[in-house]
Amino acid sequence: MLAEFGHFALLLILVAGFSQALLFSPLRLHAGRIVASLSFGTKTVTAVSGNSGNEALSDVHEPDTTPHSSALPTPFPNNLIALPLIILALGILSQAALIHAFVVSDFSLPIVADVSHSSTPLLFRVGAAFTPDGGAMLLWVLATALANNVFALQVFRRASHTLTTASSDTLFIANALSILGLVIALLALVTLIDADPFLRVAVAPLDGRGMSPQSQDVLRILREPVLYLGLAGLTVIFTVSIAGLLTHKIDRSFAETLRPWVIGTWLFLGLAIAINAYRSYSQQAWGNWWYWDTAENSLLIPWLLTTALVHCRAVLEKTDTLKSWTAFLGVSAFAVGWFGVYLSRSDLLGPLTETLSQSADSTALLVGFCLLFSAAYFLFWRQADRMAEQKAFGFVSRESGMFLNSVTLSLIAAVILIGTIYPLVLRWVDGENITVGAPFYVEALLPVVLPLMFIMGFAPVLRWRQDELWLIGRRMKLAVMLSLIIVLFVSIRFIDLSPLPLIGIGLAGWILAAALSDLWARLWHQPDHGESKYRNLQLLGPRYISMTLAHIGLAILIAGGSASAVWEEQVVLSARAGQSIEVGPYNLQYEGVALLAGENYATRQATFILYRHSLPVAELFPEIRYYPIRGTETREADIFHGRDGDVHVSVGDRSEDGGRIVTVRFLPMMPWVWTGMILMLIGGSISILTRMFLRIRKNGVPAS
Amino acid sequence: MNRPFLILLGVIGLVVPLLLSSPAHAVNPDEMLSNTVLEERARDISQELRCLVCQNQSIDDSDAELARDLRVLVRERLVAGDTDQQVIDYIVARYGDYVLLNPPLKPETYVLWASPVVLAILALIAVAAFYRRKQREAGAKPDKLSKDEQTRLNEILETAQKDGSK
Repeated sequence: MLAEFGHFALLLILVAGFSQALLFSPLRLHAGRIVASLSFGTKTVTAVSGNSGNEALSDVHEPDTTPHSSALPTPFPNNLIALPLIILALGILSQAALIHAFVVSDFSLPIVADVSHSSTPLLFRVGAAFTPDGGAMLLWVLATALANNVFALQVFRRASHTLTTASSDTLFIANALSILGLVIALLALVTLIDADPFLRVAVAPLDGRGMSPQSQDVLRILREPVLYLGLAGLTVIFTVSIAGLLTHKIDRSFAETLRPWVIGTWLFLGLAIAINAYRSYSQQAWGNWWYWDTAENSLLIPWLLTTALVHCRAVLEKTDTLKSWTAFLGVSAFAVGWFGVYLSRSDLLGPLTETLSQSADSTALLVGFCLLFSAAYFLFWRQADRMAEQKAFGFVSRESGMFLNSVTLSLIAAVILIGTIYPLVLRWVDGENITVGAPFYVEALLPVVLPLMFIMGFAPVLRWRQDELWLIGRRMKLAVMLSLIIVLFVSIRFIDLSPLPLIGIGLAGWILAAALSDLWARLWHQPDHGESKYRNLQLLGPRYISMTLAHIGLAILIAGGSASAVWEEQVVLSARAGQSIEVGPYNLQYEGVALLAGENYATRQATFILYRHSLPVAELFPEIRYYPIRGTETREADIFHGRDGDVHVSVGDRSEDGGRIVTVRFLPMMPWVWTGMILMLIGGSISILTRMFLRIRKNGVPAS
Repeated sequence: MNRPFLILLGVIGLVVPLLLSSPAHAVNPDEMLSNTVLEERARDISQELRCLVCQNQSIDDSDAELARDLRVLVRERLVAGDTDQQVIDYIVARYGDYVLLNPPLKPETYVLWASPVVLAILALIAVAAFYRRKQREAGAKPDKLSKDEQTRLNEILETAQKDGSK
């Protein structure tokens, strides 16, 4: 019964989304505006028709006959704020109904019977609700409804003090909310057509087929909400961009509106990527954290575009330039986000991951994509040229640096996109199967990444508007010397290092040295105006701190990635109980395997004691789990994060001579990869949290 | 026994354990070749070949049965005396280009390999056009303040100075 209730709520979301689209419709406001401007000419203040609450639902407009000189009423009454709230409530209801079906194991719903089982632990029964197509789509709808609500609150709040006088602002907000409603309705419709999660079968099976063992993992479950929150953020960026294009309002206040969304989306997508990377690192005996497979690429491409957008938006807010480029990125980021969802859900690209048990039909998802984005790009094409840019900036300037880097980031995203879809297109054209794997991406992307990293080093110290090359040289003196020293040291110390990782380490050193030397200059070289140097620290501001943290994080990530790939040590052997294995600076003692029972699996858990300088530092328990419901095994590695590297242990089958196959890898500097990712995320959080904090305390927003 | 023979024995006794104890790279010890040079080559080749049932994973990384068979096959061919290229050709002849993680350069993949270059050139052209347009627009609009703006600025500065001197 509850499931039907949820089904109905999903239907109502469709209706409510469409009503939001209609009630805030630009056409409705346009009509009012045109009539108003006709009747008052150009001299008087054009009044946007002021509706009272009761008239809001009618589509007929009576232009206000008394022109207001000031304090125009908002063209949409305040009670319309309830609509996003209703959609959110419906979304929560519908999601709750689905989760309830999983919790009580209602196997008359095929979606539950497919990916759950009565023996699945409660936490994973809840998590299983997000893994199949229907559940994931529903989560997407819910996340978008949440974003819709937050956005409505944001703009309505602003509306209460500034909006009453500026009619173009009103129009902009109405457009954005209308398109958001349309997207929500579209997503709900796609969910209902493609993968309706609430369908029932007449005869329920006795028990389910069980959750895919691969997804029975806390991190894997956490990834889904994070990913869809990121996509919801992209939706808001998209609608705001389209609304800005429609009302020619891509300016500094537009950038201001976009700010929390861009950074929030960047954070959520980044977190989803980080979770994904750590998951594939700890799952099985692979131990690699990046494979360039479809699911990973479809996360990386929108993240790259969002990163480009973070920079463009900052330029737009500061200098009122790069208008159409920002709008283009805003539209494209959501386009690749949506397309990525489609790619990772359809079975077009080779075998599916095991988590999607049956190949789902995602046609509506593709049709919706084509409709929405052909309209969006058509609009962009019509409107982009009208975005006049009054301000200029020189070729050597901060704007330029950030613009060029955003172009390079988009270039990288485009190459990855082509690499991802090329096999699919080729198979469709002439039936030939090819694979595009890691070697291609490394070869194709390296020439693009190099200039990106190079510019990234000195872009933060460039001046706005116009700068001189020789001045840059003077400012970068310290950074150049430091990075050269790092490269020299590494190349002499590790004489047989191949050029590729050396380049990686050198670039990481360059970015790190540049960030640190700029920090140094700001803290110590700045005149202190008679106050203490501590004042300089306070003057840095959250934006600068978050930017520096994110850049340093990336540098550390690159250094760690390059180094761990080169200096990896791997030992594979057939071990017997009591045997000790030497790897890197560690000594690993194998204690044997115990057969244990997990909640819904049986596990062969091996015990290792890790010694360093003959002192025990940790115990490691890699496992081979057997899930009887699906009859599959998973291999969980266990990892020790030391200060100088990770020890990655996994066990395999029994070997022919009676020992246990043990794979031990020592990955020096691997913790740098995780630290780098965490630093980038902390950087983004600082930027968004300080702003929220200041908002709440009503201290205003820091200027820079 | 004469002395040279003893020395030879000693050398062998030192070198062989060294060879054996150097880090083994095979995924599974019983697949591993005792000849480390061959094993190193096998590992390099394995990283170029795709596990057919996984997602973009090389057979060197994969746990799948099929990947294991391929690894063994690579090593068999190497022991039989094939060069690296011959081994790869042998596998490609059986499984098609699909097994190559690095797509080969051939008419079907020209577009793929050209795309980074073409995209980069397009981006360069677009950026150049952007700057030229920017320059033209900036040339039309001088960057200086207009007369009104200048007087307004002077006013503001004066009041600010008065406030400061108070």
